[in-house]
Amino acid sequence: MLAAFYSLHLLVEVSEKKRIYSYEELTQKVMGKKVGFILELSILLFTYGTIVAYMMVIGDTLPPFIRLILFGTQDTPTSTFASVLTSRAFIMTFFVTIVVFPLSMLRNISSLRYTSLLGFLSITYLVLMITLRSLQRIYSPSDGDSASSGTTRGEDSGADHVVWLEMGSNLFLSAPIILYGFSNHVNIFAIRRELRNPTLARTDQVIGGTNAIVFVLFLLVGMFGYLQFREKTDGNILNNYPTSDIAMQTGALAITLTVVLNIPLRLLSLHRILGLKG
Amino acid sequence: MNVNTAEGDEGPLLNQGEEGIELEVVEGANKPALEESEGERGEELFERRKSPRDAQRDDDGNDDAMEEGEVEYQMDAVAGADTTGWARVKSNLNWLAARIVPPGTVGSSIFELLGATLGAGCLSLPSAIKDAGILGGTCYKSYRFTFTQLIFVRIGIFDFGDVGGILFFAFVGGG
Repeated sequence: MLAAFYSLHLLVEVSEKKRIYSYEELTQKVMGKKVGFILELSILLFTYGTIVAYMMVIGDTLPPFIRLILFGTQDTPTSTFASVLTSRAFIMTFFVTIVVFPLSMLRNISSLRYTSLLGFLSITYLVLMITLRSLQRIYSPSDGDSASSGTTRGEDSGADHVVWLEMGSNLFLSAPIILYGFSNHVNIFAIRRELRNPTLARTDQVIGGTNAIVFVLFLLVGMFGYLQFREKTDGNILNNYPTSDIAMQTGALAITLTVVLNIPLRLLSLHRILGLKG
Repeated sequence: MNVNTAEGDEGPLLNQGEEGIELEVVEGANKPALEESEGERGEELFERRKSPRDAQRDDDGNDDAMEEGEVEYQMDAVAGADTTGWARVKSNLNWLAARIVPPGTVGSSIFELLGATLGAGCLSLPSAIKDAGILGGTCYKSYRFTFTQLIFVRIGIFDFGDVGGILFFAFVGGG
């Protein structure tokens, strides 16, 4: 959190000194065109990876819901048509074509401005639910087991010990995930442009407030998510919860909606780099 | 005439008559474009009611110009002035959203930066903690701080250009 705050503060301070208010232009100015090109390539790959991850979340979350709505069961339907209709690949393709693609071509995306608030509320709800479920398991293990029985999803692992420090190669695998969590440097200039009276002190308030909230939310979801499932923790924590857990699945739907509405915003930086807009 | 209130206490209703509304012309960047498209009616609509906050601004001698959110809100009023239904609903929603998260404030900027920061990545954090251990995961969170402290404080460099000079010596100077 401190690192993110410090690096964001430095970015804003340097931009003030150089009178440059774009992440890419600032990099080109202080580090040269070649490094600027490397940065743009990094942003391009970063955004591409983010969107792929978002699509995977959609593919993980929506199929059980759609099966439930259309066929009244969360299991894979027996008929070929129904199984294709509710398959992961079909649903991801459908959402990209029908929802994400038109949204990404909006001339004016100001109507998506309040999705940030929606996203924050969705993730806060999800974090609180994960914390609650974990605390329920810690203080009444039998309740937690019964809530998650009957499926490979949601298996608690009370017998596993807590790993305090892992020194193996997995330590390096987790690095990008955790460090990625505080990556908002590309957006700070655009947000600062919209800030009224954008002094360095007020910008620091924005950066500090954001990072403090992110740190608390990440600490809660990381610690309590891990403490509940331990060695059985999935790469997507939502996969650990049974589809019968309505509260968690509601949170999953909310975050999926957030992700869908977030993709057009993420695509903006791609458009800018590729010269497709502005 | 129906006019939206940007900051007024009476809310976003578009049904009030012209009588009793005290108006002032606002000097805004969008005004010429509006006049072109709407003519005199546009000019008339690009006005707002004086609110206590406006009066206070005038007294303070600052922030006379209409703020961004207010401009957008009034543009909605223009769009919905001669229509009902969806335009009015949209205008009311915009008013409500602007009341909850006033644009341009520290609070709204925090929400916007949160929107850019929070995402599906948090769903993988428990797995990352599993791989790194609880202490390992926490240590990663302070990794950047340690790294930047080492460069910016210990070595005594406080500028990205200088850092670039060290890290990417061969590339710097291309600009």
